[in-house]
Amino acid sequence: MFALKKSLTTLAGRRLRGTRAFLTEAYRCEDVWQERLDCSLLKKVQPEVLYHKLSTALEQGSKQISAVDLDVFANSLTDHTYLEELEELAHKFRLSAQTGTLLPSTHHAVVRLFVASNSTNDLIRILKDRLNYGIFPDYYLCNLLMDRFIKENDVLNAAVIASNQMLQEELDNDITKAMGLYSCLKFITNPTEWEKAKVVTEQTNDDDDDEEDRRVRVDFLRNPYFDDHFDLADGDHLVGKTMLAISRKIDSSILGNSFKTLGLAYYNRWNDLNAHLKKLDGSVYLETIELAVTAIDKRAPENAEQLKDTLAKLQIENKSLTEESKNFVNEAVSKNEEKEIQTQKAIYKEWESFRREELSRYLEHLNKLKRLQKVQQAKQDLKEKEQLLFFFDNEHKHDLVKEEKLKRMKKTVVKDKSLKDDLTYVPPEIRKPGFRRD
Amino acid sequence: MSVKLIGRTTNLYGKTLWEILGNLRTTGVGRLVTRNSYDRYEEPSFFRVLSVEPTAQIEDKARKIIVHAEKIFRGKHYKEPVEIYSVSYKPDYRLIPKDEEQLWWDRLANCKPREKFVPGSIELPPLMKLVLERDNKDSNIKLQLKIRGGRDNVAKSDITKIASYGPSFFKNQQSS
Repeated sequence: MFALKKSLTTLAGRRLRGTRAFLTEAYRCEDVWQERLDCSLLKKVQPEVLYHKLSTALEQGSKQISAVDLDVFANSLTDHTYLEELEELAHKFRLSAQTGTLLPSTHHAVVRLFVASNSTNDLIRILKDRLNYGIFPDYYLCNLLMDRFIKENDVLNAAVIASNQMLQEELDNDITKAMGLYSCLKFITNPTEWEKAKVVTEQTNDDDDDEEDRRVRVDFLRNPYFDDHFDLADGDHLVGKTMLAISRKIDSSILGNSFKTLGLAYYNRWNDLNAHLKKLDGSVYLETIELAVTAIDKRAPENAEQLKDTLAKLQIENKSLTEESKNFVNEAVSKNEEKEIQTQKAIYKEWESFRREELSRYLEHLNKLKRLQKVQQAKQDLKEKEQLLFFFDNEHKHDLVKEEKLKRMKKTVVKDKSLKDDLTYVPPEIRKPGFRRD
Repeated sequence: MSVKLIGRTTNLYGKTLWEILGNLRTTGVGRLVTRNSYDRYEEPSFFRVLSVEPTAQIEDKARKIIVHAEKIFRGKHYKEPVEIYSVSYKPDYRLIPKDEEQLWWDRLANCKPREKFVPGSIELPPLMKLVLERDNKDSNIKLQLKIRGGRDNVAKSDITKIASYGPSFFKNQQSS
């Protein structure tokens, strides 16, 4: 009885909030994730000292740090105190030559830390700027992030995660697919501004209009190019392409048709949309047409009227698209959740030992380098000593070396002078290769 | 304040390799990449990325990376993987979407091997011929032509054909 009451109250609470999470609490694997801190290695870490060490190593000397160091730093953090430092280190590490060695646990550590400290905007900025940070969420993290954003009614960010996954073209996970569709749908039903920062930059542009053009020397000018994938910046296009990509990968025909229609409409592929609508013989869900018409109205293509006519003729399945996609998510979750939790837990366990191994390997490498350096130094010292002790035995040889050196020095001096003083010098005429004489 | 860039112009359009592979998780290992300048050939030419090793970013310059890739050039699948490093900065590359990958492999499978036959010998140079004729010597000598060895040179010599010094012969010669 008590249990029933409890479940009823939670249900009511969920209804009040309007949205609810799809994934259970267990999916977050929080306990296993926290277990990493039990490791003696991570307990010993003092973030401040380590940060100082790493940042000085990046600025001076070899200008590079080991991926393990960064991983240990990221994993040892538990609150928001060192977020900026972590971001800075990740950025600098990305620019260094070591970036290919980033450990998979670092991605998880960074994303989880930003989520735990509620810095959603920073996290999204980092995930979007892949070239400068190189933090990529995998399927598990995507599911986790989308679930969280949907729960917080932050559909924009959920759609950003989905579209990021589309750019990676990694859409084989059932939960990711279903959640991606749901977040895209949620985004287009109540659209918001995709990029908030744009307005600010435009204003600053206007202020400095009077000043002269600044000229910057570059090696080569880039020809304008738009690759229709990574260069996509418009929210509607991104979301449209995401829906289109996912709709190709799902089996359900009505849902697939609906989302394909929406995807083509939002991706502004009017001709493809026209062809798709003509070929389409199945039915679509209720809101599809309405949403597609909104997209057409927004962009107003040439064949808008024709498209609207064909849209109106479509067969309609009398079910709500939102409800159906919600069910689709629930289905995917109930099918795969348990399995994914188990694999993720195993992965987390594996990483703990992997980190330790990697660290010991790294230390061994450092030791080796140090020993080699010592040997080199000893060799150098011995050589110098030998030169000193046997100088008079080898005097003749040294004289020869000296002579050679002097010769070389003289040569360079003469060459320099002659070039400068020679006023009669005329540079040779350079003909373009490929010059044709017809 | 608007910035005006000044530099040399190129015919290349596309993205640098880093801009493509850096944007992908696991740096795009296993993905197909092609160069836009290869579009001039009708046979498929592309790379399949095997491993990627970035180099450090130097200020604002385009980043170079070391990529090992299987190379398919004009319908020919190279046996050894190639290393792309010195040209990786060129904004000339393009990522092939995953759903088009099969299409490219099919194109490769269906593509006919290139064939080119060139004359096996050439007649004497005109002036030489005149001199020999004046001296009443045999001017009907043919000179053998050699084919330059090269990875992508598919030319085969056709002994029955004889090249001559027509006006078109000098058209393609470079002035030196």
